[in-house]
Amino acid sequence: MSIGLGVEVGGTGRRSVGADSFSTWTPAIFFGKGFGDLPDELRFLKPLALTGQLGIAIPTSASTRSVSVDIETGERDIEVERHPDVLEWGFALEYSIIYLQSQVQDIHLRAPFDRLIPLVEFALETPLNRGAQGQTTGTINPGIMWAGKYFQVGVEAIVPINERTGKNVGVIAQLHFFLDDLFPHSLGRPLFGGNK
Amino acid sequence: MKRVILSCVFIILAESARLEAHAFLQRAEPGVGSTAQIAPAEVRIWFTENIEPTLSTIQVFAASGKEVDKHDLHLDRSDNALLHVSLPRLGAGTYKVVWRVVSVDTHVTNGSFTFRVGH
Repeated sequence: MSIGLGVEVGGTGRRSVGADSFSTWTPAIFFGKGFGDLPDELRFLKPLALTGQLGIAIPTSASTRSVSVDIETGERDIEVERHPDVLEWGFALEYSIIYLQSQVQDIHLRAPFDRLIPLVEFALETPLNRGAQGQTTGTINPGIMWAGKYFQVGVEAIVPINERTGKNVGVIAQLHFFLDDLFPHSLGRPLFGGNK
Repeated sequence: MKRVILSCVFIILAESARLEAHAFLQRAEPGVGSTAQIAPAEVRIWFTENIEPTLSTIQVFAASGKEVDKHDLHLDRSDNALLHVSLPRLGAGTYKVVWRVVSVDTHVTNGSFTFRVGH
């Protein structure tokens, strides 16, 4: 388990692309638990791992006002957008074929299937106040990853949990490089303690 | 932006001549989680990277917790990613193999698995 603090710095992006003029602070806790300590009777569940996070996004501004003027009538229209504190919560459940074959039971899967990690992620947001409390939005993202020596690739579907979130299914792909393996003598070296 | 991407690709290519990685178990004999009808004379583990044998260990424990291997871990003569450790004549039962290896790039990895002898 660990804790962290995320800061989305306001006023650093163009309003035309939806950037906020205010900052948002998100203290969060992160947790992870492998199931490798299950008894041998449940050994095929040992490759499961659960990771998750729980945080509260706190905007530094409770609301923003935008004023528009009707050119013909000269009337001013003031629009107030409220920014609630938001509970950000999510978790991912994954099953490592790599762990299964190297620590539990060799089921003789060979490359490339021996490096697969099927997973499902849940990413959810629940506003806590300012008239939006309880209106949870989020997605469920089932997918699969392939982890190699120096990088991993993954693809996930993005399924909205309700109509408030959206109606269409999306897809996201990701490519991660393992910098400590790519650059073991520079970026991958510990800052302290040498290589022991 | 193109320059940044090209620079990153160049750095990766420049470093790729000496790419090394963590050593993970690729295959073992007796197999991970397997049941052997005839007691094996040794445990052999193939890793994904070449191993530094003097800094690595493989131990085999009986169900009682007693270490039963012959403490003679050695690298295969023709394969620097294959480690051997000899066993005495094992009786029927479940045995746990605990390994900790250092790959030639000094990364440390470890793991364990069990195998059974007899029914």
